[in-house]
Amino acid sequence: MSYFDEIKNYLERIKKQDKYNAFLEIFEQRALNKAEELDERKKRGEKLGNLAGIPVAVKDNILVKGEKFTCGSKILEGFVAPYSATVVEKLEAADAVIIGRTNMDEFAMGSSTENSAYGPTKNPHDLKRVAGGSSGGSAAAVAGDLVPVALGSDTGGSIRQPAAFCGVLGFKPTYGAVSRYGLVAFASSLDQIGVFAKDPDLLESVFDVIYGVDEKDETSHKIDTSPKNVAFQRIEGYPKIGVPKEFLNCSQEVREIFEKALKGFNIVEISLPHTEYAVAVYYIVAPSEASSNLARFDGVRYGRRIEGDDLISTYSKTRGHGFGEEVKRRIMIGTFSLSSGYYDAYYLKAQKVRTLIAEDFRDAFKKVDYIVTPTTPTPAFKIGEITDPLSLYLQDVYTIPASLAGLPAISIPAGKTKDGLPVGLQIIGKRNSDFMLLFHDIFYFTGEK
Amino acid sequence: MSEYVPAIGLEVHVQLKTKSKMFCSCSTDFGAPPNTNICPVCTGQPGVLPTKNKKAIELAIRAGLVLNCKIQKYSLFARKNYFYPDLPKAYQISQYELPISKEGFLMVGDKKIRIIRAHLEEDAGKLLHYIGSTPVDGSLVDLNRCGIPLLEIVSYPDIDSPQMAFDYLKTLRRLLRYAGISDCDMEKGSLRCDCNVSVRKIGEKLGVKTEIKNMNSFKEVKDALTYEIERQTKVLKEGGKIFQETRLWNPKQGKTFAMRRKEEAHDYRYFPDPDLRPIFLSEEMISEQKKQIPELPADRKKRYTEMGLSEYQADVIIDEKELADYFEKVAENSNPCEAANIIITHLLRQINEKNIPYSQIPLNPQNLSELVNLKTDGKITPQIIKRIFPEMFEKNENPKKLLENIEVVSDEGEIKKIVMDAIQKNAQAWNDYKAGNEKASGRIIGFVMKQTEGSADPVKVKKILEELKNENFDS
Repeated sequence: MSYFDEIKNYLERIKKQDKYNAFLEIFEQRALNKAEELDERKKRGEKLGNLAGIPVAVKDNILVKGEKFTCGSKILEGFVAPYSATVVEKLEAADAVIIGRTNMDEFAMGSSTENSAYGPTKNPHDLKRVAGGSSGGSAAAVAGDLVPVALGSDTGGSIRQPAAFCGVLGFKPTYGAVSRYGLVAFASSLDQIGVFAKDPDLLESVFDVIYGVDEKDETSHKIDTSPKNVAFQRIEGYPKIGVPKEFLNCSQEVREIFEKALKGFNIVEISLPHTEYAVAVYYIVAPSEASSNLARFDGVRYGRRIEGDDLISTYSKTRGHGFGEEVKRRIMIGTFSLSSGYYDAYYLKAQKVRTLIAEDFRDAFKKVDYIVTPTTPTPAFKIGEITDPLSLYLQDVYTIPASLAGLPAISIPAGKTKDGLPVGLQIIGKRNSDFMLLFHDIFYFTGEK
Repeated sequence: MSEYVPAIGLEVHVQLKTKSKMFCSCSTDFGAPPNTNICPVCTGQPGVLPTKNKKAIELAIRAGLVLNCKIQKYSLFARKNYFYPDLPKAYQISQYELPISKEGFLMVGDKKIRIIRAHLEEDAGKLLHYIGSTPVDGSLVDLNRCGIPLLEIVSYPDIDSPQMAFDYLKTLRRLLRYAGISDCDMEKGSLRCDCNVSVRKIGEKLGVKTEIKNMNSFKEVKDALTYEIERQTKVLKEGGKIFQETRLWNPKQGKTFAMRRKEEAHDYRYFPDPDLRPIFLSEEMISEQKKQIPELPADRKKRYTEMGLSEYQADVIIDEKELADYFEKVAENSNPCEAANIIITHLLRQINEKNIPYSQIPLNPQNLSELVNLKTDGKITPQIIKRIFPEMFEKNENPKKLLENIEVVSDEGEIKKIVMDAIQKNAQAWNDYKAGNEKASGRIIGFVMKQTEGSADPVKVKKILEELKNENFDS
């Protein structure tokens, strides 16, 4: 089959079968053009890239030049991306086919994709339930077999939590392993682009293309690649796996599935004492950075502008109408935390505790090779079920600590509940050990294969 | 009643001399059509990230060194958050808690003005207002300037008069231009200055300050300060109160006007910019910049006065590095004092009249030093220099060649006739001269030169005068 036909099939499938509201838009022309180009180059006997013909869906906070772009928000209505993110350039250079953009919580703020201005994404395992968030569209697209692989972004769990809810692999690399250039910043010190897939080999191949130092992103850095060469070599004995006792206050069913998945492993109980403050720290640091990052959406240069009587009222009308409730709430929290007179008590204090959390992990990794936790306290909840923002924030209680410490972490399917809902298991690795995390046997020890 | 004295601190922004902007690769060229030197980064498109300009950091180190600052080996960029249409990201990347250099000083004459800090930041764009006009009715923004690297140099309130503020700015400008850090051209916006000023009675602690903005020249800075000091003094003498506020200078009215009070001031919500890694400076980077520092104005002045130049001459010559360099080339092959003299009287006049930058002086130093030598050898009179200089300057001519075309009266008989005529017409001067007043001869020589349009050989004129004096010639 030609690349063209294959891509055409994918496009048809998405059009017909996306009952999840996973995609906000498919890039039909772009995808078919690329497929055609690949067929021609193949005919000429040219060598094609490592990801030739693989359709990749992209979360709508990663820019694809010439395509519409919303971040799940009304405020960017009509905006067309003027450039491509580094990851998109790298994928296209490896001959992947960027097939469309996926739904998300507005500006990646949320844990259910219910905060999208374009309607919630439904969970392919149960359409009444959420797909998780904020990268719910990408998770559902992969879970629903619309695409084999998708990009997401993870700030406090936005890849791992929807991956767990949708029963797919969701990998958040080490902070700085993948360039953030062209990812709309939510919380710059936490944001990281990552990958969803069902097939671990495909996930690894995509990560292999997108990772690496980017001169456009000062926070990008080198990660260890040597473990690649020793892939699938067993460390003597089983790797030592630490299970932090603070991470087991989940639902009974999740706990049972988690414990079953870990049977036979060399388990060590560990403690990460400061992680009890992780959610509190996160909801100071992330909104603070967001309040500054999102200030540029002011209607002056791009996006939707609502004219007021003067400059200030134009700002407030544009932003008042353009942003949704949750985004506004976090901008308010962040603005407050950074205000003079409160900065020391909130932002500065939170950064100090963040350091303590990172030190907890460093200490723990002196004793163990990996840290394993449930990805979420519960399986996917029903759409509309949780309305209290604080309860939603607690969805990320197990994923936030690794984000604050900048560590690589992957959510893998660990099993299903009696109702057939997937449960995820999170493996956290040492800083820069991304390839080790992706290659190690640990993948194959868990639940369903 | 005791008098009030001012305390002035200056915040000077200078544009660092880099080819590209602070956080992207856009050009810093001045005068490009609006919104042509822009890219996704400096226009704050979604998803972009800043990356530091190495050259700007190097120049900031050099500036810290020439301002005698402590260079911080670890410094941070911070975000200064506020909304304004000329600020695309709605925050300016600046330095706050940990600036690249701090605690230095600048010598202004004999007075030491302490520097609080000199930190890096990016410039904002420019708003163009066309309210009520056609075809555009409203405001437009030009982002060419947005992201241009700036160094903000903040002084302590050690400046105690508007004149000293003026001298501080001149000294600072000269220093930064010498060291190749900034052009400091106020007209092109590469130097801007805000003033903090308060007044107090002698011996009292600092009074409430106001900040004055919108001065477009060093002279306006001086004028604005003079006005503001008078205003504050008057308010206090009448028992009033000074409010901490920002005031705008209106050059047309020669007054400052209140813009916003402290309580209306922005809360900039500074925090370290998470997109930028801290600046780590190595010993090598700092010593490399030390090597890049040329001889600075104060050292040159010292050297020039040791060469015999007067304070005044030295001051004029060192004012611009390019002029001083030119002077040195001339002085290499001629007498420095005479060279300085001719440069100040003749060269600068041509340069000012024709508005030529120092970098484009048409007359080469070699030709000028020949002229200087002719003068010191007594082979040419000031009058002749005056006559030939414009042509020599413009065409870069050798002075000897120009002299060929000038008829020099050197026939002693002829000169003697003219001198005797001059003596007759200046009898008093002649008598004084004979009586021993050497200076009186000047009037007679001047008369001769006038008669001959400067073409009489002055050595011969002098010789004849002396002969006539010895002969006790009578008018």
